[in-house]
Amino acid sequence: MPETGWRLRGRVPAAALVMTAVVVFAGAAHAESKYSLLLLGERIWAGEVRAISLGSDMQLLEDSLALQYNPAAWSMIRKVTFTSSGYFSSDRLRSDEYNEREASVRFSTFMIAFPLTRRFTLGVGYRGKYDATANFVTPMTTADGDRYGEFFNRIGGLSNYPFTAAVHVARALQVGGYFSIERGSIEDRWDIIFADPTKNVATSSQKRTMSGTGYGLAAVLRPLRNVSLGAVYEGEIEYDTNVLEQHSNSSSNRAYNETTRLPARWTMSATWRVQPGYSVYGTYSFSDFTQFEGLDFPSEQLAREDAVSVGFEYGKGLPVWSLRLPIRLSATYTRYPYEYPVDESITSLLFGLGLGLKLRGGMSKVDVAFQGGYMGDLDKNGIDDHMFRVYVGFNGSEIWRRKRGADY
Amino acid sequence: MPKRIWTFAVIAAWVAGTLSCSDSSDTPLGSEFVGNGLGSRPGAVFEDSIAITSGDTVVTFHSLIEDATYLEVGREDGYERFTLLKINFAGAGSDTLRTVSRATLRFNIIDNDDYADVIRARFYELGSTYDEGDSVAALDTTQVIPDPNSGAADRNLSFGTLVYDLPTDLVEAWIRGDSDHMGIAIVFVEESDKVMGLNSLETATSSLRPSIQANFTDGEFTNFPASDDGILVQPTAATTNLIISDGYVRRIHFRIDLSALNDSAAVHEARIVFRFVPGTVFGKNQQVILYAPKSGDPDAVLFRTGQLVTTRTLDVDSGVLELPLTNALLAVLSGALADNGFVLRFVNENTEVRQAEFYPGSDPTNRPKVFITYSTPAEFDS
Repeated sequence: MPETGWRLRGRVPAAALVMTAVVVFAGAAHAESKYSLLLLGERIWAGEVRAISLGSDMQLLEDSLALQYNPAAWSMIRKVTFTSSGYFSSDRLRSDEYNEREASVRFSTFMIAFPLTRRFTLGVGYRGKYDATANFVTPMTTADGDRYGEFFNRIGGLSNYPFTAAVHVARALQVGGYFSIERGSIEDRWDIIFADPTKNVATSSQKRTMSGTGYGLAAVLRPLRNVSLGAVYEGEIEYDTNVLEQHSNSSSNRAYNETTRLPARWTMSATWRVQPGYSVYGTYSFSDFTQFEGLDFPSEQLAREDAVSVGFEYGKGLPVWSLRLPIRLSATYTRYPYEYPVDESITSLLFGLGLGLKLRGGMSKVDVAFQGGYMGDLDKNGIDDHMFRVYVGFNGSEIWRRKRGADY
Repeated sequence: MPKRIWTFAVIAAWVAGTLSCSDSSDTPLGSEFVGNGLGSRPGAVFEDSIAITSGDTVVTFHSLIEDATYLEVGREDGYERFTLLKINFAGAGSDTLRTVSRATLRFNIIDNDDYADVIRARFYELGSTYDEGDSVAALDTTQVIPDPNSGAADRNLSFGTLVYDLPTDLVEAWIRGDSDHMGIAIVFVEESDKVMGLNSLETATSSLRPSIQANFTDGEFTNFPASDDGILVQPTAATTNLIISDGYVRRIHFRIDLSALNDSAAVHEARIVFRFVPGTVFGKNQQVILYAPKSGDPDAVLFRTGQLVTTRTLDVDSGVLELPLTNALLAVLSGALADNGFVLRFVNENTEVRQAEFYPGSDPTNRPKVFITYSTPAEFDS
């Protein structure tokens, strides 16, 4: 009989709460990129932090303590396990005329898995998908010299609540899938605010509230003893979207329904354990956003979303003080699913460094990933974003020395 | 191990705080996407003025000052005051069988600096009945009530004099019901302006209230108290200016031509400016009220009530009366408030004689004008 009970003890739950509180604390901060103003916003790498440190889109780890994006890999879980992660982001944004710094904190993932048998695992959780939060203000002056600002704020994004099932079919094959409740809201708000505080603010807002369901299928193959291959298919999602427009002059208010269609995404991953303690990872994903429908986004600015990640991990770790910290390095190239201007793709390149820290008893761990890079090109896109991010993730409750599979 | 956890948590919190605090002020960065994928654009801001060129009228309400402590008679500041009294002869009972030997109209004249001590006036029989609450468009009299002792029409009303004789046959006819008692008007007849004050029914001391005392031939007497009283105020001259007045109650009703504005506009600020006609503002308690009537028909009862817009105290020295209209115009544009125009009046009407005149819309230089800052709504999915 597998051990499936809660094994959290001592300070571990407290640490989890602290880490979660830290990432949730500043949730109202501005988004990190101005590109969040386009389409659905910026993609959230809502994975386990160890995976993110090996490449933002990494989806396959040989780890029984990681609730990975690839649901088939959940069949490695031996005990009730949860993952919680979030990130801090500091962005230096630049155009020909303006410079701006933004900082934000986001809670991105919480997943929990329940291994029912040695071969079958169920799970549930929350995952951020897209962050559509950004703002700007344009100072203006009337003909009579009155100063006012056009304040634009976009808040919201997409997320889902997947119910996951994974089956360990054989040592060389694991399969999984999920059914998800998909939710989202994107609110655009314009405020015209005069410097003279006696003048009323004029507000117009449009809020899209989206709801739908989704599904995904996944498999992990091990054709060789030290090689794993993974694939995830996330089906197209059709959101029922309620649109509510509200204005200071309520005569213009209106509400209507529309459909938002998020195209399917394929992700292929590979892991090669070069030798014990040394592994190389690679992931490629794509989603044809030219098939996207909704939001009245100009179709000529839609593009295919591609993401390529490569990563390297030295699992034995480097000695730091009395600890041994595993070292993870990665690079992620992303082409975003929208263009600006037309025919000018928006890309990003992020380099990552990750560390992990086992906690007492080996039942849990904290992972940290640092990412730095750019998004957009000043000459090509008019805005570039040099970003630095710190991801923090907490995993419990598996005891590492009892984990199954490869010893990373 | 716990130390490691807490050390890590503290460092993480410090990093989060540091990064959050580095958030700089907002800039136009990102506005490049307006019209290029953002999906919306802001509304346009306009500053405009709308002159009131028509639709500005003065509405007159022929109500009386009925609740004042002092009745007034006389002329001052371009307004004539008439005191109207109605005596209650109901319940005369056995007095209807008696013969009046002397009849006197009794009232108390006020002695203070606001009023004249002596005036010349006449008592008239009203030609139509007067009851408190009635509208009285103009003074309607039938015949003068002379002093039965001298036969003179004029009476000298002076402080200290409380009793004025009336013809016995007239009062006897009122008591017996042989003649309808419609009321008595006290009318000022002098050339020079002055005003006298009398105690009204609102006076706390009942003996000071107006009444008629009838002495009968059998030695009995009865005091018939006034049941209704009021001050009828009439202007002595007409004006083409916009005017609000009390006593003779007039309100200004005006409409604002909003056709130039987008129906969906948001109003940042709006105010209407009236210009005083110099030398036309007088009276105490110069607080005015602006409201949006429930009906645009001045004859309708609902015209007298509506949504309060603002109150102001007249500041004559400024030369203008400026009233905010921001929220009211937004409500009208959005349809939350019916466009019945706006009405300006004194607060607490029917209390005293006062007025203020403003230049009308027909005066191209000084006409009322609305200054408005508005914006069109943001366009979404554009």
